[in-house]
Amino acid sequence: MEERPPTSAEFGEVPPVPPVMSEPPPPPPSPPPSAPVIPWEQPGVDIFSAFFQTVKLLLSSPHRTFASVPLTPNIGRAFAFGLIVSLIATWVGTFWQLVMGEWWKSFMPDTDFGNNMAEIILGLTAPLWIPIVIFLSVGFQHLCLFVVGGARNGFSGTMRALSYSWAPSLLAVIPVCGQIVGAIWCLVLNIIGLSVIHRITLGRAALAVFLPALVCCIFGVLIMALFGAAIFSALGKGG
Amino acid sequence: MNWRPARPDDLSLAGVWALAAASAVSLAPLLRAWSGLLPPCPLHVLTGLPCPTCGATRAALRLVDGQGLQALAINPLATIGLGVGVIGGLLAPAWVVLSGPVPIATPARGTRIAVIATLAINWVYLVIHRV
Repeated sequence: MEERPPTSAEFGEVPPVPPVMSEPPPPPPSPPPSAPVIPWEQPGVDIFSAFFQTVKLLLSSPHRTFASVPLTPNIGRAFAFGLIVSLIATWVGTFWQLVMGEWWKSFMPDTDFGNNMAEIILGLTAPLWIPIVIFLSVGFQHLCLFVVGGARNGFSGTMRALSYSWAPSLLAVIPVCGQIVGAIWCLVLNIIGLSVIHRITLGRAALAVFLPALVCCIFGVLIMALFGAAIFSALGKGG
Repeated sequence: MNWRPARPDDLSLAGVWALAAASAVSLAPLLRAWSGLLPPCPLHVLTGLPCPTCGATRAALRLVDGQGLQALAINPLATIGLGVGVIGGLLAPAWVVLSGPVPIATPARGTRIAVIATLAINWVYLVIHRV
């Protein structure tokens, strides 16, 4: 008799089928690297390195640097940056004013260059009045921004834009032209900073910065035009 | 105007405000001496008419002398702003700690129109009173 292969029933238990080993699930995609934060507001960076790196970045690539400014409500670090930069610029400017004042006077003896004592007192009390100037400047700037419809990231955004835009005022270390170049550069950074942080166009940011001067100029032109029209009319009647 | 309770995040802004207010109070005695160092208003010099901030320093001097009504007569908006700025700043940290209500300044069109109208009315007042 021909042997037949045993059936599974004769075996009793069905041998277990080894499970199909599926490939391990792919690891989850790594999260995109977080955007670098401006060095001055990075935790754990020593203060001197953070300060100089921030100044260097603001002067060399302002657009990218302002884009890295965090928009948290905590404005302490940004305020401190503005305070430090303003103090250094004020003290250096006072120093040059005192040192170079006599030199300028020798060229222009009839010009009144003011009182040296007033300069010294202003320099010594700078830690007291600079916080007021910063707060008033930010408040006024924010008001102008609000009027032109550009205040999209709050007072903290304006504080950061203005404080970091004062980095070029450190050019006051260069006598004579440093303050002038620094002032113009600060204005440019101010416009860029407001544009990037509040996510508005450069034109709207510039309008907010120049709004007080524009309003006064337009008002002045209107007044002169009215006076001119009145004088012209009076001359016409008289003639 | 919408309101929300103050949060711990607001403490840094309150601190900066308080620092500016405390500095203003400490420097108040020197304001009269320093007011002479400020340059004149260019618009006032050219046209004889005041700009929107003209009279703010004089209003501040009247406030330092305790003459609030005279300060209001010189520049109402600047006087109110200075008063709110100093008193508000000194109270701000405590206000935040106590979770007092803070306004949410919405950039809505109505709010902007109200702000512009207030500034314009104050400026007309300054022009009429030849500040």
